[in-house]
Amino acid sequence: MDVDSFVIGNFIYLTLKNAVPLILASSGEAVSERAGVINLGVEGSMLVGALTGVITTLITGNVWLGFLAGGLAGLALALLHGLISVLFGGNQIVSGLAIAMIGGGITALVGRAYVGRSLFGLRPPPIYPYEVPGPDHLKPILSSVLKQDIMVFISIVIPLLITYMLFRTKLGSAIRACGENPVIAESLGVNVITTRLVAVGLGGFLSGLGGAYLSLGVVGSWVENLTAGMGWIAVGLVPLAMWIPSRTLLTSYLMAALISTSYMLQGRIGVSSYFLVMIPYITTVVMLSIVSIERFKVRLGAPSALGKPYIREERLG
Amino acid sequence: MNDVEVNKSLFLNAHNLSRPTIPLLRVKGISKRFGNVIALDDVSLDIYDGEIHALLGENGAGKTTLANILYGIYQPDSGYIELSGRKIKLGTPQDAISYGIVLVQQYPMLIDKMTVAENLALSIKDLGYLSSVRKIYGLIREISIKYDISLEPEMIVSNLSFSEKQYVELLRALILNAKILILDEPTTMLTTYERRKLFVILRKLIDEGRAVVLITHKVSEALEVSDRITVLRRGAVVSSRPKSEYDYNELVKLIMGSNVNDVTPVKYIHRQRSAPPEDVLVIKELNVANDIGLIAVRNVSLSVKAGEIVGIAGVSGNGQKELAEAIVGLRRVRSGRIVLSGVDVTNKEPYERIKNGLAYIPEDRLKYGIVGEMSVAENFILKNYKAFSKLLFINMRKVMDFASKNIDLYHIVTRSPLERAKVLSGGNIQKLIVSRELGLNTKVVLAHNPTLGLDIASAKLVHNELLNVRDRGAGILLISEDLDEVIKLSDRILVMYRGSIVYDVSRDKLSIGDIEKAMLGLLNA
Amino acid sequence: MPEVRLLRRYEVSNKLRIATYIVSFILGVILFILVEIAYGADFNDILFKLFIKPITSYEDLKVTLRYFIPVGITSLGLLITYRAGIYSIGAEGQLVLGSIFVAWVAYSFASLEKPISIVMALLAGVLGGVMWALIPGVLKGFLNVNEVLTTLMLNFVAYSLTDYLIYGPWRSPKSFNFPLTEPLNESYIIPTYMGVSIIGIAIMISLIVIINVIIKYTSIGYEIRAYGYNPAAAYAAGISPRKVALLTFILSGALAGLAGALQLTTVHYRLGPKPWSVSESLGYTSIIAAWLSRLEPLAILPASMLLAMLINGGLNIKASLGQPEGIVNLMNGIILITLVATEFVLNYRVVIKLR
Repeated sequence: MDVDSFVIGNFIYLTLKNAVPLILASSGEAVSERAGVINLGVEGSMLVGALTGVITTLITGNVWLGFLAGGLAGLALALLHGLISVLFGGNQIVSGLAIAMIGGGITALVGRAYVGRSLFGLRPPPIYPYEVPGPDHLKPILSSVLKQDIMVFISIVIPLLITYMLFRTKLGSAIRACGENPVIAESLGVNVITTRLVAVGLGGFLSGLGGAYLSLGVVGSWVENLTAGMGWIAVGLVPLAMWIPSRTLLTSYLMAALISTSYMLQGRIGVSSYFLVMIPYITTVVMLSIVSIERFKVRLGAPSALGKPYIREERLG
Repeated sequence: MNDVEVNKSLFLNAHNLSRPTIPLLRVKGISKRFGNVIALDDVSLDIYDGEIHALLGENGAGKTTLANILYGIYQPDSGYIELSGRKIKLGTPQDAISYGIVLVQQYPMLIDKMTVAENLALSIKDLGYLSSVRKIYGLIREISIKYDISLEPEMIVSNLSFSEKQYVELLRALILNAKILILDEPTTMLTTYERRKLFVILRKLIDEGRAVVLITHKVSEALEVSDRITVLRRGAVVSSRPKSEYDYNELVKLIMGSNVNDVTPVKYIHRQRSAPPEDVLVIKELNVANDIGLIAVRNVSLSVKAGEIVGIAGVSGNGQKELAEAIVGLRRVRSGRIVLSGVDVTNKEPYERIKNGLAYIPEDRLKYGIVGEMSVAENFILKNYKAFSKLLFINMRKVMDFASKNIDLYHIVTRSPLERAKVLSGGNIQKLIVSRELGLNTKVVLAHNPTLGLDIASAKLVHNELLNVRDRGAGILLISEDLDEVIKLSDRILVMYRGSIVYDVSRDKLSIGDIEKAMLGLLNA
Repeated sequence: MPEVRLLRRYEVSNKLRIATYIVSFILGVILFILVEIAYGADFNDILFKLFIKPITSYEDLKVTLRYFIPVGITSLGLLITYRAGIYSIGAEGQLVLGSIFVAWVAYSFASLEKPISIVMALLAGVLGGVMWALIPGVLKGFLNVNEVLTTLMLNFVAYSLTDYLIYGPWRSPKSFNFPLTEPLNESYIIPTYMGVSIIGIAIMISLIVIINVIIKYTSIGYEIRAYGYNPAAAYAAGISPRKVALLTFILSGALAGLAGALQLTTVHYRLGPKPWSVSESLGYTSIIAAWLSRLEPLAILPASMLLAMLINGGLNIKASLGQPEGIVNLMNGIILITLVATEFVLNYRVVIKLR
């Protein structure tokens, strides 16, 4: 394969786009896990967000409402996880798994009527709708950035804002306290249940938004099981980013670059595309293993109470 | 229960005569049960401003339960609470705080990985959720200076000493503008010097018109600082009067009730050894990191001989936990050696250590000592289940016989050997652990705060068992925050401070003053 | 104004446990039925298709039993890992690998005669499952890598591996361009009696008995249970987390692989793409069966039977209403979430005070 500026431009374009759902979903999951709640339902929230985004955009004709609705749908599904695992004290892993199944199932059922419906003219516009200036050999590279829509840039700002929130504000302190030791957090005056629900909800909203971007921004239509494991990879990226939302930018771009490379290599090198499809999954396993090696471990910021249900002594409701 | 009645009426009279004003806080007829256990039984007492009110009683008397009710953590089953004559409802700690009631818990309840300011910010209602934590830095500094507390808002809590953590809790109470401060056993882990400094601050607080409730099990402490003493026994108030109306012996009697005969002390006989025995545990230049990767145990070397108890005293948080975990194999060491009966077990699995005769009485009994969801009988064989199995099959009859025998021998209160271990009381769980650990082919015992939170009878049993196993020739490393316990039991006493052994003295040469200085880091090793 | 209070429960009686459990299962089924009704299904028809038809019509009973066997065996394996507090969701991939290994043996040694061929096939399935399970097992045991994520990722990899084989080297030239492999040789097909795999049921029941004994009466089971309930205490007591992780992953992988082998040799006879693939998402369904059994080996029998009925019924409904494949997922998800929701009743007591 010849590497020229067109190929490079294409690579950058694909990578920036593919990273958006990963950034949004994994930075949201990072917040949820910082509060001590693993949400394995990210895949479900993304799917629900993707479909709701498509339906809303088709009905209203406004893609921004589509994004908003997608986020809210993701939020709603995540709150179901919150209800079961935070409020009821149910097993987080099992509840998350169930959420992922429900998200997959309900979108398959509802989405059937929308499969293949075109979003022509309804997709988010590029930030620079004009002819890209500059010398010919740089044009593809410049346009790989300038022809992106605003969500690509918003997705860079969001993890930074969340990181500020998490490590500088009182809300962030409350969230981290819930993830470290909910009993102590409660005694310090944090409402653990509410705080955890806020964190899970925020995570769900961002997952839904990421899913909506996948359907509205990347693919441009709805197909059953659109995410194809993207949500699970997003969950896998959280430990790699050491539970710091801004670092999910790094891990997501890395993963997106891999995914883009495997797209671009399909049919061009002597490796079956079925092996190229495995790359993101295998990479996640390998990277998770590397960060689990003892010498790297100490610096990891895994929340101490991650995955542990908090059952309040007594509650007035 | 006649004396209770008498004391109640006395208390009412005293109150009517000397205090015509309404109490700041009135607790009336509070009862609380946990499952089948009655923790508080019809408790009433009055707390006045400008007074230090001692709540005195032995472990398990219900003091902490009462404190948790006043702070809104538990809800009483019956009874009510009045603040300045108005009935109030304390559903959550937030409710309590809004009424000016703040609890300083026995073990500072702070998030270790966060800064002082981040911890304190969580309690400040006026601080918006999206405001920066930095906004309260000024406030923290201001109050610290006023009460002569040396703390900076950006300090990480895990780097603070025990007393500094306690000051963070006090700061919290002051920032919340507490009218009533409840301190739960604040002095257990403090040295004499730190204790005095704390009492000075408490005096300052009541002079400002606040009320302080001091929970303690130490009679001398109650007599030293309080203005009024309420004695709790088995969840009931047995007496509540101004301090001047008590003397020491009467208080001891009130605390112990009919158990008073039980307090005959353990006979702490220290044996004279004839031949110099072998070292059963040798630790050489050990360095161990804590959870966030900082060195917590620094170049520690020590040895324990067969038939000897070596006690490590020190204020909690000076590396004792990390040292204990490294010896048992729950924590990797950075460098150094751990040798058990001549076998190097450094960074080996716990199994290798157990094989070489190490028994472990953990500080955190529920986490490391038992499997709560399994039966009492199954917990008895946790360390040597293989001895009860043949060709992989566990002989349940043998297990049951073994369990029943031990339950009888150690007077463990349980409905059946098949009951889940987690429903046992703390004392019975500790008896289970002690009987299991010391019954094995034990050469070395690591006992970490073995009597923490136990009632007197159970503590006595634990002490007796440790002395017995020592007399049978085992070497014991006793790590304890209770200095009295270390002094009572140990043949040799070490002091740990900031991860190092800073003091090492044999029993016959010990000076309590020097030990306390060493615990504070005022003595050079 | 009435005051609603949630009080912490300290002890839960077995009666209450089982009652809430059954109620929650029924609730899950009702929720699913409501979704279906919203999508145009008829109430009586659904009840009939979910609970009556799968066990009364002979044709349907055969299909139900066809799911019953792999779900029972696979969920039994998962139960072992869950008992150890290890949350494997990798049975799907292990089942797929089991079937790939069987196919590989069957194509490589096509001339082998019964019964050696069958024994070889089943062993190959077990081996495939174990190998696939050992990846997360070793990572968990030696590096403590989160098994939820690794097992899940490996499921995707296993799907891709099947796709590669059926679209690539193993694709049958006679399959009219469908991505299907050659059918197994006759000697690799396990006979059924009137369409029911008696051998499969016998294997499943004997495995349930064996695993039940291992978990409850042996030192291995003791280690697994102790580690599952309290890993810290088990570790401090000398139980090796490495041994527990490897052992449970090996056992669960073996059972999932065996289920894959049985699927290939008694039901499908060839590998194909989803939804005609050997796994049919049964690896995920088995997770629900394991939780439905409340991790009690003997209860795997009714739990997997119930789920087999529901899958069969769900597929019938799906077919009659022209719904997508994901509908079975939805049903599984709803039932699973209502099962987890029972924790609420077991954790709290609701007290309503009128005043």
